[in-house]
Amino acid sequence: MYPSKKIILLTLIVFFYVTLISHGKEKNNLFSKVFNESEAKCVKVYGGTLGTEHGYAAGMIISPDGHIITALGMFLSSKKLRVVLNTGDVFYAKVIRRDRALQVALLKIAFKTPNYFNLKNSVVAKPSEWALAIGNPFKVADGKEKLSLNLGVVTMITKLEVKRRAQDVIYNAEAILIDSITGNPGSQGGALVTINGNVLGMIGKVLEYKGTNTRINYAVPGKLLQDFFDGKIKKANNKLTVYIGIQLFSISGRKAPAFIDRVDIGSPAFLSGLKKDDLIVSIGDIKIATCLDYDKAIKELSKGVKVQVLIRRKDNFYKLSLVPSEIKIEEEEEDEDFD
Amino acid sequence: MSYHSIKSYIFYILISLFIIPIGTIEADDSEEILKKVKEFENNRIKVIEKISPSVVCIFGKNPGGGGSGVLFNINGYLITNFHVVQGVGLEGLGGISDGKMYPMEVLGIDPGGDLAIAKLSKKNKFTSAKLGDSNQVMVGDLCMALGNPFLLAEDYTPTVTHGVVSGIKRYQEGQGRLLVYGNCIQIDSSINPGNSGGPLFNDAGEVIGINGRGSFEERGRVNVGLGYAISMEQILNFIPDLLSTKICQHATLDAVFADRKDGVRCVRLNLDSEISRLGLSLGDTILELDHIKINTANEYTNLITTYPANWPVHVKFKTDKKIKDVYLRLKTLPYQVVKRTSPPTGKKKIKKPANVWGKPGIIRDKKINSRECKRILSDFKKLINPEGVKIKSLKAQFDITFDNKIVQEVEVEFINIQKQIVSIKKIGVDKKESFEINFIKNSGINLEDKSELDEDQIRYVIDQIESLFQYYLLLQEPEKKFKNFALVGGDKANGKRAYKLRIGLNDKQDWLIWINIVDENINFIPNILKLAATVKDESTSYGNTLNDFKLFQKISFPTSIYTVKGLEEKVIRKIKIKSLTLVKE
Repeated sequence: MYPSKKIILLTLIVFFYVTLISHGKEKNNLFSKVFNESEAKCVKVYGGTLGTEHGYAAGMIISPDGHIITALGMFLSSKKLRVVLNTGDVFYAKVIRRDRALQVALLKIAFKTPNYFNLKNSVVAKPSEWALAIGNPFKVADGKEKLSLNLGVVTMITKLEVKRRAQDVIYNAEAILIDSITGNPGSQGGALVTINGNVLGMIGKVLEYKGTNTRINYAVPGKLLQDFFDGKIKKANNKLTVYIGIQLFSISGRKAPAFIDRVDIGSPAFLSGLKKDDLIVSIGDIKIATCLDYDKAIKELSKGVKVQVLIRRKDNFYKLSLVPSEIKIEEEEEDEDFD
Repeated sequence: MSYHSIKSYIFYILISLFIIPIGTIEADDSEEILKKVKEFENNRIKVIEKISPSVVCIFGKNPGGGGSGVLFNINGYLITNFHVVQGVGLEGLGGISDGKMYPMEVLGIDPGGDLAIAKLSKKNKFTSAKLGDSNQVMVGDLCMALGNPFLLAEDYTPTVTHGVVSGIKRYQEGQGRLLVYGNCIQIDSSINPGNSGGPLFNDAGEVIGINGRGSFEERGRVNVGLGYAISMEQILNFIPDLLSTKICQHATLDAVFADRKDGVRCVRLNLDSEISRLGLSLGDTILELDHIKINTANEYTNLITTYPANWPVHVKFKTDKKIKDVYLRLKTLPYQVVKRTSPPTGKKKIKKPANVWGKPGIIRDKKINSRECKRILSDFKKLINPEGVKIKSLKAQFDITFDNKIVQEVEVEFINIQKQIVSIKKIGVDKKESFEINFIKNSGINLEDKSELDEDQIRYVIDQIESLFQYYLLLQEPEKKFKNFALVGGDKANGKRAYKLRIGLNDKQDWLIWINIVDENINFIPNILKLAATVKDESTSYGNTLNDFKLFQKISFPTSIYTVKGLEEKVIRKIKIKSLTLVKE
């Protein structure tokens, strides 16, 4: 039985060695491996600054050819869009596509890598599961410094009515809500991953929930990002399909009465006889008490279908008929004044 | 055994190798996981119970100021933020989780790094927190911020906010040169008003930082998911200066570096500076600062902000021709005079007292300073000689080593410490002779009989033996034997962070004593690292470092004494104790 002894001895040595290796590893915590792996697939994006809008974000590398997904924002309108990789290497990016419904943008840099987030493998977020948010809030990290990690729990997946400061933002898609704070400038565009490193989604831009006026911490689900990457998301996602051509006087708040502030010349509203300072009382059968009611009501309209609008001008009431037209589709590249 | 049977053996062994790990994974069913989670939670609860009593809720005597702090010493010493005590003034109150308030006096402040040390009194024994190693902190580590945000607890039990470390080695700009957070820890634990000055614990319940600020930019001063804690590494550098009642100052190398394609290069340089004198010129590449590799200019800035003024550092840089290693003391980065801010509520106008903090870099209260010096020495004495054994005399045999060669054997006897007489006996190879050395009124060693001995050698030996003698004297009753106790501040000796103490032998002669702040495990275990006479020029001065401590009759004594030169601490001579005999009284 001489050889078997030898083999047993050999296996013992192998066992001993394996245990040694596994114990001799560097100090690690529960999240460090996933963080380091995922962080390497994230980038820092720097663009233009305008007013109080911050000119930076994070991004996720989503293809081996240097496609990067990030959040929509003012910074994208910069002539030079700088992308800094985890290695500290700098690239200049081109904006390929934008989407208002998801509030995301697709960039491309001349960089090939095997190390990217495969959105096809993204998983559906489940409430109560841990989520690691990786972004660059307040651009704390610079150059090859590592992005910030925030740990949270997925609280719910829902649709929300959102705004940014006084302006409405169209975000019709489902959002993954998390309980860690990601509603900070620079976090947007970063990755949301599970504790195993699977992609859940991309951290969304700074937005406020209309109901409470507070910032929400959310991510755009990975499935939708993949659809966007594949070019499957259409403009039709945008519910606002009709064009009327008025702007309300909503500065004093969303619950202000629906006074008209501006009427576009040649628009359906202009043709129907609506004027500045008219108070909208009803549209069709819907009573309009506030700007919010107006926003809801116009979503129900369809193009080319006549609707009666009751307005009050000084002390008189007038009934006007309005024919909404199709919404103007703006050129994508000029689509920058929405923030 | 046939070839086939060996093959099957290997096959089975390989299979078994695969089965074992799979088996363990299968055993981890949900109940098992739940059990582990509960165990983890219970551990955390236990840790929080243990650390809570060390957290202090700080109040000013006038309304307005306040925050949190953490006790690091059972005698009531606490660390907090400067901006917490800024509104409080020199005297305040500290509440701990026993529900009681204790009077608090502020010792030193560090406006540049937002730190302060204060002391609670009127309780015999406070619960102190164990300090941790912030160099070991990694992104993703679980951490807990304790403090009293929004003054939620009226019985001063701290609020715990749990989170993870979001980033390390962060830099947060301050207001000019004040309140700069360099090399700090970024966390996602909630940091709110009142958390300032409170401790950041790791999951083992060790303090790894002091929470001081958050990225409060857009949404007012509430938690925004980004909190910053001053690292323990920086705090340890400043503890001696803070205890010495100084307004601490930060350091500068008088050189600015920037990232270039091929390294971190010097782009601005003060030509009158020490570093310029040592050979650094514009365009040179910095490689290391204090033996830490510098990869980016940010790393350099991060590190330099965590050093106190006059801190000794090693700088490694590359000039056109060669790589240079230099040792120097960093210079002082000046800042404007600190003013006491009036509390923000301020309906009633509170009279601003005159500048209570003193002048930057200068010891404010000599009485407290001398008290701290004595306390450090007595802590040392208690640790080294816990039973307070009184020693009558001491006898030691040495080997003297020059250039790694033993050149001489010497026997030394300290007879009758009270009279301070020392006899030194030289053991030669062929002849035996003895001579006597007297300590006359503590004025040093005088050699009476120097016949047939190399004078230089005797002087060297005496110098080193004197260190052992000083060590021995400090174990007796230093308070009675010496005068003019002073805690000079922080320094490094024998490669470790140290308190630098100065005590007077008499009116003319002073000693410098370096005692370490913490040991390798960040425990406050004081020990003497180095002894020297006071000198003007440090770069060429000599000192003796004490090494290889061993127990002799329950008292710890150094068994190797090295004579070192300059800031570099280059070893010149060694003496090694072969035997040591203590005679108790």
